[in-house]
Amino acid sequence: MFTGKKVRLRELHKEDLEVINKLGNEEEVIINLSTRLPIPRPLQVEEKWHEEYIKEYKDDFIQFVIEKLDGTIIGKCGTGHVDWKNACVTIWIFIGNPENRGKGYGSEALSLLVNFIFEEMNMNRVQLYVFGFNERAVSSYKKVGFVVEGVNKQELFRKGKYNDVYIMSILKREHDAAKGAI
Amino acid sequence: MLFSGQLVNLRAFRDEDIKPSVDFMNDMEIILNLDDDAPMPQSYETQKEWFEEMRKNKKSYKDFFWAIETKDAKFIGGCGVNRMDGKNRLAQVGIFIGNQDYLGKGYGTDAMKVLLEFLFEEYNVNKVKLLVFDYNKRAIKSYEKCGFQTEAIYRDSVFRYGKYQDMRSMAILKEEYFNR
Repeated sequence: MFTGKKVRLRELHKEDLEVINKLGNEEEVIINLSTRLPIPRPLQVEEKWHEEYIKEYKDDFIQFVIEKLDGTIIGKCGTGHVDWKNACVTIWIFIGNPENRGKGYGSEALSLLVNFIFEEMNMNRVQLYVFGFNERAVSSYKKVGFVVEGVNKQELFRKGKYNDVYIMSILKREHDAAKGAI
Repeated sequence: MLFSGQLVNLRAFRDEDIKPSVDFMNDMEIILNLDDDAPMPQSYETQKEWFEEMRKNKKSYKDFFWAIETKDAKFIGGCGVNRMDGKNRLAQVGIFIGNQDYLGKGYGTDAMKVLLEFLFEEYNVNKVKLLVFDYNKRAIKSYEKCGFQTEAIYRDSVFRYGKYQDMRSMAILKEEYFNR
């Protein structure tokens, strides 16, 4: 369920935090992941979050470590807002370290996550936001089956100007149809 | 004048608004256009609690929310900012007219224009956006009159009336507001 041809998704351990923190603090990751201020996050903040996550452990906030099949940690992915009533979930993903990008690791991890959300969480819709300037990510999401639903103009102030944010989604029926075609 | 339109004024909520708000929030036609949660029956007590939390700003998703009243001081609805993103200068707004006698007569459009004036001319935002149920054609028309344009259709993103329905995201930019 959580293992693909190149990567696997697994649980996050306290021992992983140092590596995750380093990957997540790469400029390329910070710039592309959040609309908030792009500042590196201290390891202690990561540890505090992890303690809260363990303390309040519940099944509607899901995060996975992404590792290559040889056990090298390359990133993280998970759910943001889970709306059970409307069966819609927002997701996020990042791959750190330039040499891990453009090799299909992210796409495969994403497709494992999407699979889990449709097949186990019984959702109808998976959505994500991606910055317009992050073309590699957009093409990766398209490969997994996401479509661009709209362009939210000028929603992100970054690099001195307002940038567009795309909203992308995949529906259960599209997921099922693609699966049937394989 | 700020907070004052052709048909309505915006003002702070008062305790006397709680009672009519209970009726607004128990009107299924109103509530099913307002929120993507399943509608729950409301009482004086639940509304009072909501008012108190809003005033204390405990409901963190409500940055500010005001009463809409007619020029003869009749309370007919509310509008305000659900989420203010200061760094990106982005305001997500919401509005409702709760008294059906005042629907389709320009009161909501007028109130939204007053809200936009406040946000662009005083609050210094770069963009105002909102989400609307795609089946709520009257609201979409009203927002278009205020200068909002459609940016995205969130396919099947709300379950209502027995099926998945689309949500529409609409927005107006600062440059569009000032170049009207």
